[in-house]
Amino acid sequence: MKIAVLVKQVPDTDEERRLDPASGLLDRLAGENVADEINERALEVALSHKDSHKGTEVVVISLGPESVTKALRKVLSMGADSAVHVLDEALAGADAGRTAVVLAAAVKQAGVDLVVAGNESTDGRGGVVPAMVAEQLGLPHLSFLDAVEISAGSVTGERGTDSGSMVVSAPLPAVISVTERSAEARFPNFRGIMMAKRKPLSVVSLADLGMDPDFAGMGRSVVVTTSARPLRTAGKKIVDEGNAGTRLAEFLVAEQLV
Amino acid sequence: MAKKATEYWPLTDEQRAIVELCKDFATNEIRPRGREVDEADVVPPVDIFQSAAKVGITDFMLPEEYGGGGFTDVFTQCLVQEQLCWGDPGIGNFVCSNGFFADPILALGTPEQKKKWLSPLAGPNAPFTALATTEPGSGSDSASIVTRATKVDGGYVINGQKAWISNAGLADQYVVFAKTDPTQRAKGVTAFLVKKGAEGMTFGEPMKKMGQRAIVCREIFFDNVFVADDDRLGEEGQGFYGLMETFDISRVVLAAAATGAARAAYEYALDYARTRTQFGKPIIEHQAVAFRLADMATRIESAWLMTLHAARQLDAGENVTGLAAMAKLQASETAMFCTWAAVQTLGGWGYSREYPVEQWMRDVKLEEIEEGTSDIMRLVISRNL
Repeated sequence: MKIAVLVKQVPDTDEERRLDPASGLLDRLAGENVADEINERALEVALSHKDSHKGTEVVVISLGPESVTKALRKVLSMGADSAVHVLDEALAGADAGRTAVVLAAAVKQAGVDLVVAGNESTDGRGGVVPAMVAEQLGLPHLSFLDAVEISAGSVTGERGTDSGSMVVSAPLPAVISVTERSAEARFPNFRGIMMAKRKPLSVVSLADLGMDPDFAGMGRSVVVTTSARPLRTAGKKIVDEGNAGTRLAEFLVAEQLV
Repeated sequence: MAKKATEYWPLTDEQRAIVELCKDFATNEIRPRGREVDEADVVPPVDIFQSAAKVGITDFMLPEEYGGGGFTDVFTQCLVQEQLCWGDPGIGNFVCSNGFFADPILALGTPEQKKKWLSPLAGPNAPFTALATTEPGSGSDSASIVTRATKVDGGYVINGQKAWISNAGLADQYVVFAKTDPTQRAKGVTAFLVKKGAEGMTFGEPMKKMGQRAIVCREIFFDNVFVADDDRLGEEGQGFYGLMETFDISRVVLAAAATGAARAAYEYALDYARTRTQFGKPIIEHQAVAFRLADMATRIESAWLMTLHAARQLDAGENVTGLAAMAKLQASETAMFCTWAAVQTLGGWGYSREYPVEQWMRDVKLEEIEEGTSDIMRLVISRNL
């Protein structure tokens, strides 16, 4: 079985992140860029299947600027077999729609049985790319899985809901997205770090994928304005006059927090 | 300390990835366990060693031909040790302890001995090892050991007592130093390889220690323990010189360990000084506190640069005996100062066992003692002027 894991390089969540007020885009030079943690969990879903099923091949696919190599080497050192990096100037500022079209083309070229993605990135927080990739490929999509089981011809998973959980299943090939409950990422190891350099990492352009760099006829989202997060204001104080519990509950209900 | 990650010396991509791995391991697997291991007193955290073995931390320093990670340079070992001992000094040293066993075998061993004794250390199920030099009456003056190896048909018989042996009892493989010629000092010392379970070899109770409790030390008793000729390491009388050779490496690596512990204490104190408020402002805005932090940062920079410099000289094949002793002296005294200064900065909380700094202060005291005390370091430095 061949499994593709989608990887996105994002600013390290341990550092301060900011939007560039002029372009409305994330300032990617402000801090360290790393593979998104949710992608490491997605990789773990693929690698744990590989651990128990010899002959499983895991390819990681990413789209982004040159610095993405670092994130790809990291996931290769954790155990992925190969990596595909879609690098093209025409992709600067690509929105979720364009990203999904390109990732879908790269997945198609890789020819895989299953695509595993994180449910949403820690920077864009759109949470739409996995579904869009599935749509582009015309494949079934299981989203927001807390637990995943992969078998020869199908994939099954558990998705939490407000009132419980549901078990969903799809025949392969399919696209799934996983939550942070799905798996704990493993450490890379010394041997993996040494081997990562020898593993294939292919850099492909839009032309290599047979795509039009102008995305003719395809719309795109444009950031109209951005504004800084409002400063924190003083919270509402409830002084206990014997009925604080009731008033707290009323407040939470009024704010639709419970 | 430099805030942005401009490297002290250019690192390869692999070294950068290794530093990141060790940092994650120290943060997630080592630091959270420090207090528990300290309180347990004489229980080595075997499970942490096993997790470390899985990611390759216990064998990265062994040559590739024996199944190790192949990072045999002291520079990379320093990068690793500094990160791990930042997590916890005792646990950091514990997970890398097989390197200390391997050094004399790499220095003195035949290809067959290296294969027999180093290959088992590679891989995810690495056993523990130990190096037995110190005796109740022989510490800094290691040429004065009295454990005796007497020649018999086909091998030697060892009799005597070792003390303060790290991992004794837990370890499967031992390098043991004994006198083959008791009329000589250094020239009479020979090294031997012994497996646990050898008849006549027994262990004492765990020794009660001030710190670094992840590493449990015991006495070893040798009562007519037979060792075959094949398991003599090097020629008769070469043991002491093999030991001296390994000291250059182990002292630089311990300097890295001490620097990591010093950095941990500094970062902890800095963070506390920025958030703790007294007299209406964060205590870091009181000059007495700020200056102490300035001294900590300055000494850490100095120790780390000296350590990496010594490592690079060693890797280049230079004679670094004096420099290695300087690095170890500088780094261990820096660690002692910085952990003391962290306790001082945290005040009452520093003295409390709820915070780790008092433990680190006890832990790093060992670095001024093991692999040659600070007094011996000054002796070595002065003889290499």
